[in-house]
Amino acid sequence: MSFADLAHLTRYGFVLLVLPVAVILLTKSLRNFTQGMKYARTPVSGFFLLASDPLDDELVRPLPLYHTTLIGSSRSADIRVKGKGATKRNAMIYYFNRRWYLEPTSKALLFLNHKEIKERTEIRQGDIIGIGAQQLSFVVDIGAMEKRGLAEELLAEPKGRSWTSGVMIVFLQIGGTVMIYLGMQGTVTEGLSILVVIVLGVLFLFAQLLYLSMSRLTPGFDESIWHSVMLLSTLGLILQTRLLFLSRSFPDWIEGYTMEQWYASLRSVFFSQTIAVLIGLLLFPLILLLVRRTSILEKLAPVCFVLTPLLYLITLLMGRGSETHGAALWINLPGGFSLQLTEFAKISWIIVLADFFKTRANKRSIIIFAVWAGVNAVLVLLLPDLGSLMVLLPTTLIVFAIMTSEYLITFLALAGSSVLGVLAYNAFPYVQRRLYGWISLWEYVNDYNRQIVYGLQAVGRGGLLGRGLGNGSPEGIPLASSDMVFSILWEEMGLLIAISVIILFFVIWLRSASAIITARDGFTSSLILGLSSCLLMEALIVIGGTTGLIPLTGVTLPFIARGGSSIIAKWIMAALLVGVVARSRRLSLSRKVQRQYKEELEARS
Amino acid sequence: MKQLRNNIKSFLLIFLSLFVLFTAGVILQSQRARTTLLASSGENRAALAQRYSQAGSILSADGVLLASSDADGKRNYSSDSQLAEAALHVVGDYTHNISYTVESLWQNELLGEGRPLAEQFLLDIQGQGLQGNNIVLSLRSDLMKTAYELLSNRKGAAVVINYKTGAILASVSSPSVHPDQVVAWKDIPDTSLFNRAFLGEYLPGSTFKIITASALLQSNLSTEDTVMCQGSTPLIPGGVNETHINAGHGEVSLQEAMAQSCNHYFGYIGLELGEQKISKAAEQMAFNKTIEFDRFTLSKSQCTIGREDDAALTWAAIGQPAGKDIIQLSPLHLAMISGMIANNGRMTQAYLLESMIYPSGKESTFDNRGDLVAQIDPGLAQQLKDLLRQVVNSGTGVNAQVAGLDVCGKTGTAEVYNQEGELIISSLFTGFSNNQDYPFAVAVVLDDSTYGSSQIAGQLLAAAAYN
Repeated sequence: MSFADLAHLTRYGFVLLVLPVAVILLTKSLRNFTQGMKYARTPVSGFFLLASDPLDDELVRPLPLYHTTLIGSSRSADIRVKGKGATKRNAMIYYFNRRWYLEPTSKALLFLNHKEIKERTEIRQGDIIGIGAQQLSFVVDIGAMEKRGLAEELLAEPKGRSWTSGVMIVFLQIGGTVMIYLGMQGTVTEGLSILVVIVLGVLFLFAQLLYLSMSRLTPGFDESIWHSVMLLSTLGLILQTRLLFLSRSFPDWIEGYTMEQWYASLRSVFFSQTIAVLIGLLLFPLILLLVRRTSILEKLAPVCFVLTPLLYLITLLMGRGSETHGAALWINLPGGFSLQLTEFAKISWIIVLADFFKTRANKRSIIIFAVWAGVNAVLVLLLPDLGSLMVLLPTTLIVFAIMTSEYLITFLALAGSSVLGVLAYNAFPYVQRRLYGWISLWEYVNDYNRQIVYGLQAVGRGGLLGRGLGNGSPEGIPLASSDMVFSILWEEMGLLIAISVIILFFVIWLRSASAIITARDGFTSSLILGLSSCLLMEALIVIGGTTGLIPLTGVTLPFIARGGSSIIAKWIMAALLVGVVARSRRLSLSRKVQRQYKEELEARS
Repeated sequence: MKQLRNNIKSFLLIFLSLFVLFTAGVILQSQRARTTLLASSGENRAALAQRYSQAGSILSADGVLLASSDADGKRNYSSDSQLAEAALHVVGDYTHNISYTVESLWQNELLGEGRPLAEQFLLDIQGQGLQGNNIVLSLRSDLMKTAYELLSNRKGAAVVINYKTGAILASVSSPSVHPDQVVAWKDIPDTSLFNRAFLGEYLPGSTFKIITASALLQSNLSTEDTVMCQGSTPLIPGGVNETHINAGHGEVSLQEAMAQSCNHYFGYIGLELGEQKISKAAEQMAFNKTIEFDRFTLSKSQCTIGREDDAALTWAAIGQPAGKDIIQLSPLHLAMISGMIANNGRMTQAYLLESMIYPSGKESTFDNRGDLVAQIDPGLAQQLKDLLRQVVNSGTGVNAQVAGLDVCGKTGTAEVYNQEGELIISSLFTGFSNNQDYPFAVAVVLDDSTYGSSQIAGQLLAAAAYN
């Protein structure tokens, strides 16, 4: 049996390893989500408001607090007040960066300790909030704070870990590596094939060890997100290695090109790809622990506010690579490395976004953000990196709409960006060409749609089960390993695995959606939402683009496409996501504040 | 908090529906890609070589390779370049520069794709999963070559069918070119990629008199009544006349008129019958009907005669439509009409694919063979047969005579002005051998020759019977 026939047989195995994992993760996430919904209104422990009846001092009752508590007469308010001075949304009490804040959300009078306040103010133990005729005092119970709340007990991952997914991924990694090794026989030297197998083996082993240790050491470690990321990454590594080494033949038509040079170039691409994954895996535990245990991200937000436009500006001034990819997005670093800073700018954008919209923002901050985003958008358009914009725009709108409930503004922003889209269409010829290529997709093959048509033909050849690893024909498809990688994945692994990939990105979003409602504060919620939506949008845009559902823009498929910067940036995003999801649902206060409270308590007694 | 929860809930619904829609959209696109983008001329060349390395072969009925792939994925066409050129329009090219060929319409089978899962799995276990199916055509390689030789680079088409089974034994379109040139897309003569036999739209000329005669035989008009042929004088002002015989045929009855292809007689009969009866007789012989077989579709044969004026009607009756009238058909349909008369009034559906051979060695035939396309009364068919016999025995079709065969048929000459305004005269012949052992029907069309088709037809029938 030749390797091609073997690959055609083993494709069943790949499907049987990938599809069940995707389905298991999907059903589990859906179940967890509905479960999480039930406990979404479980209040935080250790903090509450005491409502006292102004007519009767004896009648006091505690009111629960959530990470964001809305006070008002509206039906959507968590604490409802009535009577004189009550408006739909009077005020908001929320937790951020280990502090509690009170923020007026209407023009109605709001008192803190009998003084009127106009903007967000930190509140402390014993502060009295006055809304209309209501008097509410903010109470911290340090003793109760340390206890695990009911919600936390219920939401903790079930003790027995689900081994199935993990084990199947291990099998996939072993199987994939074996297939790569067998497929490399006859294409490259024995030495090179052994090297490749060792590198892949070490990476996979390291990833598994990382998983085993992190999942044990980190309470709240989200296994579903990890498995999804790991599965996508494994598929990516197998596919990228295949694109380099399998079914390849020495390009003997290039004059003066020797076999050794060819091997060297293959090896260097392979190493740049695997090193990126390795860096991602090394950064993963560091970032995970840092964001889980500290509030570093909260402190970083103002830095990111400056950093984001700076990254775009640097790319604009120093970017290279327009001759190969149409846009100059690469920054050359000493030592032959190059970085795509726009990939990292996405992360810092999301952090800024989360900081701005950790709660329902007031008009002023919405305007500030809009101006900031507008400046960035102009810089991105000048690059031009339409792909970034296509990802960041929906991400921003999703976060904005969910966190602030400002549906009207969301709608207006959407309409505004459509206008911008029309303007961009008229201003940039390359946008027109892409759109034309997309419209003429089913009519005839031309220079502007050849890439997608060839990709779709590959998809058509792949069918339900694919043609088997190495049996595809990526040679004629431009940018097969990066922009068009999804069509190669489909051609060689089939519809079922392609759909599994889409499912996995949804699993990440679903798991995040559960975490959003149980997160300890608004910033965490907002950040989780931003990160997961960004990954999902990126995946949907590139998959939609390669399959001709929407016009193609230069976006890479997270964890699968070639590109060191993209891989590293996506692993950082995964680490941030797993880290903030794993943040304890318990609220903590800084040591200084805690000490203060204790002293007060002692003084009172 | 309440609000956040509600927002998340509604967005989850949005995202779930997005997920379902998106997945459905992606699957739809892949299906569309399968049906419209594969086997199109814009296919990725680099991808083809990889795919064709184990592709199936295309064979003629007598087992001659018409197309096969070597291990490097190179697709080779018949080593006999004459046969390769003759079969070009039916077999096609794997780069799909020519549409509607076996290579494009049966690509999935040739590449072994789209098999039922269980069958595919069994093949995969045996390591034969990537092998394509072989396709055996009904074409006879000797007859294809003969037909191509006889056309000798003149523009035209020749078709031989077995009228009992419907098998297409030869279908040649000329001029042609070697498939390797089509693949490389260089040095391609004008119109050499056009399958005239299947897709040509020809005026029937006098071959249409078969239809007019059929209408007459079904009417209450007498076939013994004669018409006085006045030669070059038009029957009525603007109506038909004789172009070749100035003096005319004299008093002719149906039998003599058919044998001599008398325009006056059929023009007169056309006036007597009216356009409806002629159209009805044409539709009985599958005009105005799409003929489809083995994923091929013939150009639509049309017969639309409007009652504009009597002069036009006389022209329509002899197959030379004037004004807004349209009468046209493909050479294969023309052969099928002869076959219908030979086969006691039964027009059997044509077919091109004899069988499919799977990698396992199993050979399967197709089950929709022998279906009827159209049918006329056997008695009527017999009458028409007798008329056509006279044409070959003593009329305009004597060149089609073959020793030992009872050849019947009808000649035709059609005049048409091309786009440059030049008068193009084409020569047509349709006929059959009325022998049990040699159930062959033939149609020959020469695009720009005034004569010669009946001779080629006779030689083809002889080759079909005696080679």
